[in-house]
Amino acid sequence: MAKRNFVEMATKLSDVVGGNIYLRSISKGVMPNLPIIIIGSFASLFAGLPIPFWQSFIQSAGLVTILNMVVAATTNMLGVYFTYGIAKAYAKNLELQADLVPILAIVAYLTLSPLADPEASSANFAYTYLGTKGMIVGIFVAIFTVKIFKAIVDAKIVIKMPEGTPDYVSNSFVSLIPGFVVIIVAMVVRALFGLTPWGNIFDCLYNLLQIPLTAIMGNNVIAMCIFQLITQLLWVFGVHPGFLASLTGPIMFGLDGMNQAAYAAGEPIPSVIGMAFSYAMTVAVVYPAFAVAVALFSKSSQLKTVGKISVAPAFLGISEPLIFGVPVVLNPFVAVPWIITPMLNFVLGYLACSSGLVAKYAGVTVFNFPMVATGLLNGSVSLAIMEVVLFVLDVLVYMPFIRMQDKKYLADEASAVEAEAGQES
Amino acid sequence: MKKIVLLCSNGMSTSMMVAKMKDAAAKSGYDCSIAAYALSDAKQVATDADCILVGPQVKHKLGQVQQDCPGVPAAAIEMKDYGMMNGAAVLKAARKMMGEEV
Repeated sequence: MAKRNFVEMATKLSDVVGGNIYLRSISKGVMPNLPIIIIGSFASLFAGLPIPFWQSFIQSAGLVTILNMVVAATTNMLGVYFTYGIAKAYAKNLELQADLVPILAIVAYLTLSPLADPEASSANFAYTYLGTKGMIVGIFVAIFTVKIFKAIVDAKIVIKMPEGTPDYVSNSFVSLIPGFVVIIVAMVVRALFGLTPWGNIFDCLYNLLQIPLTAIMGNNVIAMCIFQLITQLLWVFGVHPGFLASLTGPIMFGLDGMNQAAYAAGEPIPSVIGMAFSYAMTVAVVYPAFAVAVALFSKSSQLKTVGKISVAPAFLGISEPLIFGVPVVLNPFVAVPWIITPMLNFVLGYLACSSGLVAKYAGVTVFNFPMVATGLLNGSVSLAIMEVVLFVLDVLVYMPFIRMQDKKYLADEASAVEAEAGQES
Repeated sequence: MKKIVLLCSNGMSTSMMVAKMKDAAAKSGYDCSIAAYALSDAKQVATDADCILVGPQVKHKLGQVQQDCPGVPAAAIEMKDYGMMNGAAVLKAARKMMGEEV
């Protein structure tokens, strides 16, 4: 009964979150930026690598400026790119046909952005909020741009061109009125926020929403453990937990962006936790440990087969053969280490990183990279060593449970053989 | 030629399954197209399929898939076949769903 209730609850939750058009648009809009995030992480990595001869080389060769320009164009502009992606995804979800919409969202975003030099008489952009610090405003801007645009198009308040006008001409006129309205709304919002103590919408939402959200969901090892517990439990009940990641993803990418920027600038990394840390502690280390434990400690033909097919994909972040082959699903023997190991890694990893025993992850997002590479690419050999230690520890945690499972399968297989032999004789 | 579509959360783990099914199809000389996609793309890629299979981890989304692709037989892949990446068994199940004698 408990199982049924949990699965129903999980399914409902996943429908609510996965079916929510805003959350879906946000994750669909953020995800295509992954290559940009990765390119930016590599640029920060090479710019900030704290090896003296490398630093003197890139300084003298003038490479440091070039690398930092890449960081500026990728990581430090993610707020703009997310806004574009989210507006595009949301418009698509609403079946709104207008190529202009995501570009218009960027125009509105920039119209709202604070000034770098408020004393100057001409307009100027501040870089501060073009990166992940402007993410929350970006989400709102993208959603409202689409909403306003759609409302006006639906109300048919558009300029109609006489028949016979080429499509591309008339389309650009159709977008004109909604475009004007969106930008006028942005101007009004900008003026209104000028009257608040924050001075602009970015400072306001960053302080009121993004800092507390980051504190609750991001830089908090207990909250991470709770999220991870739910993630692992969902797998135990055979439900894909992807919808949870769409909740925490933007915040985690935000933390990574902050860490990367600090690393590239040679400053101390502000946050232990981020997407890079989280990926390394869970998927990158736990999946291979699980697969290797299955491959090493089993004699039954079922587990041997699963071990053989699951090791390589496990190192690349894919766990389905383990989850359904061992299986993890509805199997108390294996659910225990499955749930314990990522949480154990979180706590030990957090302690090691925050105490200074090892470095902090530089925020280099390395989805589907194998462990050790995840540590090295985050700027430190110490992280790679920590991952190996955690990996060995996880293998040991899995060992007794895999052996129990294996014994059971061996007995099953033996009795199946006996039954067959009995039939034949 | 029959079109078989596999769907999972991102189309990643089912693409492993696709490779195994293609092997099985080639071995038995069965001519078909098999491809994996993300669930959210079902409407765009699977409405003209002859058969849809979803990964067991997204079994609870089967109703949504059936709604998005009316008239296409759809089912979840057996958990064990998925875990063992048993391409032959899954291909057989797909052919049965399409009403073929196997």
